[in-house]
Amino acid sequence: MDSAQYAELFLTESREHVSAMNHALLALEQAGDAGGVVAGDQVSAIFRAVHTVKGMSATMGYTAIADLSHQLESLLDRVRRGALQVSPQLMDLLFRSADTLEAAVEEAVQGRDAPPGTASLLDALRTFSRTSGGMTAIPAPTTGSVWSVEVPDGDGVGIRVRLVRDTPLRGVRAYLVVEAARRLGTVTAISPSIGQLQAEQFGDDFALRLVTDDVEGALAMLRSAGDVADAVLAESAPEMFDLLALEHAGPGLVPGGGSAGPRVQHHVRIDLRRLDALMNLIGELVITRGRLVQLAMAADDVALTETVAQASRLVGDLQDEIMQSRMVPVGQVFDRFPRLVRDVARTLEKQVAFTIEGTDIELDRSMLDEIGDPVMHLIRNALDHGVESPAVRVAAGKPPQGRLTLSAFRDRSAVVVRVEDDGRGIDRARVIARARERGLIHGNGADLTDDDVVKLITRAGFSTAERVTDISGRGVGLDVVVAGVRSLGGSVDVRSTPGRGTSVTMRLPLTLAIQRSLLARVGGETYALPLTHVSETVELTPETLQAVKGREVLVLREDVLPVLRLRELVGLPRSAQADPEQVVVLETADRRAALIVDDLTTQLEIVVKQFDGVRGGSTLFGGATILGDGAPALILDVSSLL
Amino acid sequence: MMDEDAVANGPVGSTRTLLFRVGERVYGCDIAAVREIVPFRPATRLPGAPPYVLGLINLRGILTTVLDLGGWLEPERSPAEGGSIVLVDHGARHVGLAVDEMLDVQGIVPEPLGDVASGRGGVLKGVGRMDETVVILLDVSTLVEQVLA
Repeated sequence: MDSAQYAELFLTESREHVSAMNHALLALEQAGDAGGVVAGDQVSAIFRAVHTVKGMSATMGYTAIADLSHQLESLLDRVRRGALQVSPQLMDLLFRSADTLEAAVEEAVQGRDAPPGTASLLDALRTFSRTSGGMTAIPAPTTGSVWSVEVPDGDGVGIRVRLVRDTPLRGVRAYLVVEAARRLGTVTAISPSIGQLQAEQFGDDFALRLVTDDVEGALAMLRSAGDVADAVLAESAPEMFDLLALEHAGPGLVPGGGSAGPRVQHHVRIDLRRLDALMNLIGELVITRGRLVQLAMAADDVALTETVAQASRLVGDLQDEIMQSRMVPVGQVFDRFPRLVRDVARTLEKQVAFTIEGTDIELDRSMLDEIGDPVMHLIRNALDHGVESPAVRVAAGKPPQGRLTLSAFRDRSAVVVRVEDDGRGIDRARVIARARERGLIHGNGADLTDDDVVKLITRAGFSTAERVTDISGRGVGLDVVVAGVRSLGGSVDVRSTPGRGTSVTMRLPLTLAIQRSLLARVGGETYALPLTHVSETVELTPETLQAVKGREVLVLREDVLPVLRLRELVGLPRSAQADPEQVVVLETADRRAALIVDDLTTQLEIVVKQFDGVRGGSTLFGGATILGDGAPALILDVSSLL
Repeated sequence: MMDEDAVANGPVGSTRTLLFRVGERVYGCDIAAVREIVPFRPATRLPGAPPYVLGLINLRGILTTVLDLGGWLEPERSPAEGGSIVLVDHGARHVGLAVDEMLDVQGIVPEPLGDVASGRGGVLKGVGRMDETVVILLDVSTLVEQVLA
């Protein structure tokens, strides 16, 4: 078996457990704030998460993590039993532990040592246990020890036995335990062997298999044998090796305050590269299907046409299934933000009520991986620059606690993710000053509309942070977020009202690899327009076209849209007036425009492929695809166009 | 390896060279840079690109940018509409060069170019002789680097 494969699995699962732990910690903290009543459920949830990480890390041989989780578990056990009260100091220690645990997991998988600070944290955990509970040594709790021996295969139940540490004559003690077990039933296997046990060639623990009618009775008898610290039933194989974990509760282990409750799922873990390969193959198949359909039509054979139609439908279904198998709820990424908000708000001494909506909205895995960072920066920005300190808020007649909302929802073939705060809004004067400093504008900017000012922030090379704070500084401003989202084929809309707040809306395609698109033709050339950015199509009639301030606009119901002509964009001469033309209404998160094309041919799924651009070439195209006839067609990058 | 090839395939110091005709002239490039030669096919135009960029072709599912070598060498020429496309590798990138006619592969001894013809950013890197004809040797990697963004 490939240990790297297990390491990856360990990493994934440990991350889930640390995430569960953070959730429960936040809930515990809130419960504590609310009335000081210890929420037993949350403590149990944290305990379970830590316990599982400990078991997995011990199996993997990551001793640093096992030690850390063991200490943590001991502490939590005392909290669970009521021997320790939940205090702010305890919460801080637990949060710190969660962070260190997370870091240690990442390091261990990379084959590196535990992160700096692990040793001091271990000390802190021990000290905390001593000072506030009077307990000087932490005995290995019943359920939570690191076992060094594998339970041997064989009939009967697996039993692990641990001798009291440093007991004299360990070999004899072990032998006596085995003898006791033999009186209780049939011992089918021992690990290490009885010879090794007698020769004291074992650590503190050993394991055996026992066929008996009364397991509990047997355990009680073994525990009462001399110098036995513990005798427990061996747990079943650790969860991480359960590749086909049906009814696997996964990250839903923790009741996360209602909305993120446990979800029972039928899951199989699959290597992402497999899914990517499947996605590529189905992409090629979709292209081939297009060709096949054209050939069949040309052949004019009824039987062939029918068969091709059926194959075509099947390919479509297959594609849907594969796409679906790659979809993951945004909650997987959003789950880490409550903790981030808590920490950042504390550092900045701000009060924030953070709400997440639409965690079950699904996105393609490839897309989801990419939006985590942009969303994180938006949240940090909102906390750093948006939400004011309590005093400032009260002075402005607002409640001291700010609101921050992260929401996701579906809108046609796009997913919209929004970060919204009720803070001070974008400071017009500051933006203009910075833009001048950066040479983005000249003059005093008095003629700029609010919309223009917002646009400035998203221009490359702009960053509102006047100093690099460790919160949102780091040189990552909104401009960088916007560039990132655009490279994903999405668009960003920023709205801000001074004194009232800011909202940043990202509009994203469901997937990176395949896009539903409309094919437009101009002068014999075909271009693809991603449906993520198409709101509707209308036939062009002369009366809807008007000139406003010398610019051509299209009046559509109550809207006045700027007009773009695809022919001009791609450097073709204007068509003769007599030709009927079509209008495609394009939209990004914040802008709309009417694109005039000669004709619209069809709507279909296209596979997005990259190509090497040439110097001086237009930047209006985000990629290209291969059409049914095998010819490449360029995909219009709507967000860079508007 | 190059030396062995040269010994086996031509005079000492020669390089195995792919020879092709563009307009009235014969050009050559190191065969090691060439991956494949395919018949000419129409390309999808890249708006805004210089005139010597023919556009994109679909090469078994891979989008490949094709340059009109004739248009690049002699800007006044009309774009290629036939002939062959020489596919050259440049790192991870593949670029096609449209030429009028494939001629031969021969061992050619490169000689430095006179000052007169040097330039074009180092793409014209030397001359050689194929029988009695003067061959202009091209450094296709440099060409690709110059043209791709």
